Order: sequence, then structure tokens, then C-alpha cells
Amino acid sequence: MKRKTKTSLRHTVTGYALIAPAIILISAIAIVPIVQTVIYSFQDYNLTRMQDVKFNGLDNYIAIFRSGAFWDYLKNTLVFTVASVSLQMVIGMMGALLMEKARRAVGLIRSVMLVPWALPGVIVAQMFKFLLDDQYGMVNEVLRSVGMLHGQWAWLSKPGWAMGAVILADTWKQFPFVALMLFAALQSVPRELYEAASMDGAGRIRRFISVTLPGIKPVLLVVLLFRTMNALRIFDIIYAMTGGGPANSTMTVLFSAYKSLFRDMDIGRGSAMATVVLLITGIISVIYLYLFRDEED
Amino acid sequence: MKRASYSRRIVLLLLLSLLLAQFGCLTVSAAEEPVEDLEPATVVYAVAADQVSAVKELVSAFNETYPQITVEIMELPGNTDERKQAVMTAFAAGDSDPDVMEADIIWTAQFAAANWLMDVTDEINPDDYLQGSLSTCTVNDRIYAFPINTDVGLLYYRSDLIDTPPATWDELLEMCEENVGKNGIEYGLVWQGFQAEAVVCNALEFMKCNGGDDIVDGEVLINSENNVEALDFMRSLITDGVSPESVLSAKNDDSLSLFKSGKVLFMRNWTYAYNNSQTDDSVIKDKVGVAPVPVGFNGTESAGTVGGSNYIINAGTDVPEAALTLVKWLSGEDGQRLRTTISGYFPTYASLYNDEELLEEWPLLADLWPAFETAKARPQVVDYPAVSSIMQNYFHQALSGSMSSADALAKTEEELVQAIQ
Repeated sequence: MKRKTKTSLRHTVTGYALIAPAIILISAIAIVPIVQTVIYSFQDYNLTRMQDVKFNGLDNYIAIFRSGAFWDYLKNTLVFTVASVSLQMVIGMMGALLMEKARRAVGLIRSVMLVPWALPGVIVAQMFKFLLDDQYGMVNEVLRSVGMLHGQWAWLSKPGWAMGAVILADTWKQFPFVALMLFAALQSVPRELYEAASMDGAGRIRRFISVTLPGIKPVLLVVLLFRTMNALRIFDIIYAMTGGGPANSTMTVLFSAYKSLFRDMDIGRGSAMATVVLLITGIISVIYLYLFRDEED
Repeated sequence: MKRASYSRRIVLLLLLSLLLAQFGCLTVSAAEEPVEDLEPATVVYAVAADQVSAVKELVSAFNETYPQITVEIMELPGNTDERKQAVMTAFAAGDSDPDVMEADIIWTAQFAAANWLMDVTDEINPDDYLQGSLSTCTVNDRIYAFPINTDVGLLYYRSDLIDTPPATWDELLEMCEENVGKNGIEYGLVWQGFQAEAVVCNALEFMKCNGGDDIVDGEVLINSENNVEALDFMRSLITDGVSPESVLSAKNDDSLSLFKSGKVLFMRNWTYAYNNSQTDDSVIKDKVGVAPVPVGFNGTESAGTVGGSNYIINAGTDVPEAALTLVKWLSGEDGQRLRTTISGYFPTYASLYNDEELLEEWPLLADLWPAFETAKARPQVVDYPAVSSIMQNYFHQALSGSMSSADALAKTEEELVQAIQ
């Protein structure tokens, strides 16, 4: 421990002063709205009845948990999250390994890979809607030409398939992020370790499990955390592609919160649902961070 | 409590200022010499992006009579949901702008209940307007809006293949059977089942054409035999291949593009589809006829769903007189006649349907009069969005085959009763 001198104290003050604007800004745009939302979630607060806004304790939460629909939305959210994040991690990992193998045009490959990730979600959704259109969609056209489909297949009108389509669209959009992060992590694994492993007679798969995976584990966890948090809050693709349908099969918790807030103008109920998403995200973050810390020690 | 509401106002105001910065305001015309005893005033008029140029034309006509009123146009998003969010924020914050806006008919009851709208009961002459449209402006016998235009669900048909449009579901099915598979026709009927307002408008139409009803004077009547039969009929259209399964995810434009491709015999759609189905790139140009939607097995009359929009005045406006003058003119005979010729809107001013000059330019007005006359509004309840969400969910469960029509309507009724209490 260094002894505190006048100079270091002044350094500290200067340091805090310098980061103060950033802290204030972040509080204003992130923390204040979150706290506000949590407060609203304990209120009977509907924009059409502004005159009798009042605190109602846990009423909003009780109403949500009692409605059968909420559990369906939660199930949809979890199905979407688990499926899309797993797919993205696997495909992203394969992409990263492929990029590492590529010795030429790495820059070009990386730029091309980034395109889906850089597109706004609404546009990705619209693209997939066109691709999957029952009458004119390319997917059906291809399936018909190889004899796998006769007639029409309305992907987005069938409850089970619509969820699959949404997962597919999100995976296409998000896997490049995973691939690029993991590609960067792969660069940091020391070459000597691979050589040593080879000399010890380890095969490709053995080297991947014993050298590559441990080497990129910290990044892997961060990517997993990022993707999971984002997947739990999926909105844009569902909004543009299915609107939560057919028959609520793609309705997520956050999308129904949006409907409560902006269609029904029920700020209390909507905020409570948003808070539930916040809690789930928080819990998952803590679990991941715990795993992460374990690694550092 | 007071603090909380103060900070809320600040947040809402911040949001509003962001919105205003985003959409921008443009001044249309400057005030000239006042001709009447009205004080010079500036009215902020919020309108969807796609109607801005039409409204500019309307405003310059208005300014010929009322030069002392300056109208500033506030451009709002084209998407209905986004437009609603934009103005909700302003109204909830008690802002005086926009003073006047064009609102979807299904917002009026909700906004009126929130005390955001000026009560215009003593300013409007109810007999001037179509009663279906006026009912969308009325909440508990008070009137809170002036009708702009009306819209109704209609049956479009291929006039080159069908001589007399079907008046009943039986006739419709017969004609489909006769024509599908010939002349490039692959499907009998397309409609809009996207799980949003679309499925509600369509399903209620089938139900009311079959003698059913939704909510009358606060009483929920949705779970009736006629309505079960209507949903079953819609489901059978899909399972029998009369309608493609993709109607379940179709919005207006999706149906329109399929109809335009010449693959479909009949289409249920709004009035906008008449001109839009006969653009130059359409293979069915000059082959489109339009009629009231057909009557169900147990129904007595055609009952297309009413659509359209209303002019509303912000209760917190700082220029009430000028705002009222503007809205009265826009919604009056001259304003609506002009709007019909510019926007192709169907007027709500009843006498315009007998206006010879207008009829010559828009012969459809006379043809469609019967459909407008028997059109039915969606439930006029304060919590309409919540009511609509319930119907969207269960109608879609029934139509996609996840639930039987009888079960779906029983659940709808149960939840609607709770929602409107």
C-alpha cells in the first residue's frame, strides 16, 4: 500500500473531476430512466387516468404473474434466447476459426462478415419476410426447385415455424459479432502452446478443447453475456417480422411490455413487465460474471 | 407525490422537445390582414408525413378566408403506432402543441377519457355527418372530434371474370369454386389476418356480417353462435384453400400485391385499394370491381368495418378559437370537398354524397354509399387498445387452428368483461 500524499490526493480529485461529466451523463440517460421505470412499476399509472395515479404496491406484478399469457411470453423469450444464442455461438465460433485459417484477404472477409451485423434489425426482418414469403419468397422457390416442397408454405403464419424464422433472422444478424470477437481472442492464444500440444501428440480436436477453448474463455464469456442480454431484450425483429403472432407464438415479455406502454398506455403494467426483464437480465449477468471471476482467480 | 409528477413532466417535456427537434416544424403561410374579428393566431397542426402536401394545399385554401390564422405544420411519422406515441407524450405532458391533429378513429375515446381533447359538443352540427363516423367521435353522449374521412372494408372482385359480385358467403364460395384454377386464378379470397389491428377489423367484419356483435352499451356479446360460425368460416377458408395460409400474416399491402398479381379472384380491403390496385404496373388495371362485403349464412346485411380519421383539438391549446375555426372549416363542406379531390378521401360530410360536381369526378362515391351506410364501428370503449389486444390474441388462436373458435370466443368474452370494467 502506497502512503497517501498530497500529490496523490490531488491526482484522485482531478481524476474524479475528469470522469464526472461522463458519470453524470450516464446517470442521466441510463440510471434515471431505470429507476423511474421501477418506480412506475409500483404505481397504478395509466395515461388515460392521470388524475388518479397512485402507488399500488405489488398489484401490477401480481396481475402479470396471475395471467397465463405472461408465462407463455416468458417461455417464448427463453426459447428464443437459448436457441438464438446457442446458434450464434456455434456458427460464430466456426466463422472465427475459418477466418483464422484464411491467410489472404482477411480484411475483405472481415468487412463482408460485418454487413449483417451493421444492418438495422428492422431491415433484416423485412429481408427475411421477403425471403420467406409464401408466394414470391426465394426460400420456397429453392425448396420447390429441388423437389422438397409442393405448393406454398407460409412460414410466418404457422405458430412453430414463425419462431424458427425469427431465430434464423436474429442469428444471421448477430453471428458476425460473435465471430469477430472470438477471432480477436484467437489471435491472443500463444502459438507455442499449439506447437507444444502437437509435440505431445494432441490431435486437432484435443488441441481445440485443451488449448483454444481455455485461451479464449474470458472473451467467450463476455460475448455470451452480451448476446444473452441482447437476446432477452429482442424487439425490432419481432416487431417488424411477426408482430408477436401468429397466435402469440413469438410474443416476448419485452414486446408485450411495449404494447402495454405504448398501445394501452398502461405505464404501471408495462413498467412492471420491463422490470421483470431487467431482473432476469440482471440475474443472468451475475451468474455469468461469477463464472468469469472464477476464471480470473 | 407532487415531486414525482413534477419530475415526470420534466422527462416528458424533454422527450417532447426531442420529438419536436426531430420532426421539425414548417411554416406554411404568413398571416395577412385580418378580415374578421378573430385575433391573429398561430395554430400548430400535426399530420402524418404522407398527408403533408395535401394539408398544405388545404391550408392555403383556408387562408383565403381566414388570412389572420397562421398554420404551422408539425410532421408526424407515417406509421400509426409511432404517430400515436409521438402525440401521447405531448398530450400527457399537458403541452399546448399540437393544437390540432388528425387522429385515427380508434384513439378518440381513449384520448377523450384522458381529458386531452376539447369537448366540441356545442360546436358541431351532428346532422351534417355520416352517423357511423360521428359515433367514433362520441364518448358518453359528448362529442370530442370532427370527422375527417371515412373508410370501410370492401369486397374487391375481378370484373373481367365476375359479372355480379356475390351478396352472400354461399355465392362467394360458389364463384370461387367456379373460377379457381382458370385464368391464372390460384386463390378465391384474400384478407388481412396479421396479429394486430388488421385481424380485429377483418374478423369483426365477418362476425357482424353474420348477425353477430362485439360490445353494445358496455355489454360483451362476443361469444355468440353467429360469431363462432363466422370464425369457423374464416378458418375453413384457409383449410379449404380458398384463402392462402399467409392471410394470417398479411397486412393491407400484402393482400393488395397478391391481388394485383392477378392470382386472386376476391380481396377484402379498404377504400385505398381501388386506385392502388389499378396502377400502371398492375396486370388487373381496369379489371377491378368493388362491392359491399358479402352477408354471412345467418346475417341480414353487409357490415364492413368503419375506418378513417378525426380532427381532434388539444384541450390545453392556447389558441382555442383559432383552432376551432380551422377544424370547423376543414371538416365542413368546403374543406371536405377539397380533401376528397386532393387525398382521395371518402368524405364524412353527408351532403357531399349528393354533390353532382363531386360525383362526376368520383363516381365511386355513389357506388359505395350502401357500404358506408351499413358500416359498423369497432367497440367504442375507453380502453380500446386493451380490448383490441385481447381480440387479436384469441382471434388469431382460432384462425391459426391453435384453439377452437368456441373456446377462443369464450376466453375473449371472459377477458373482455374484466378489461372494460
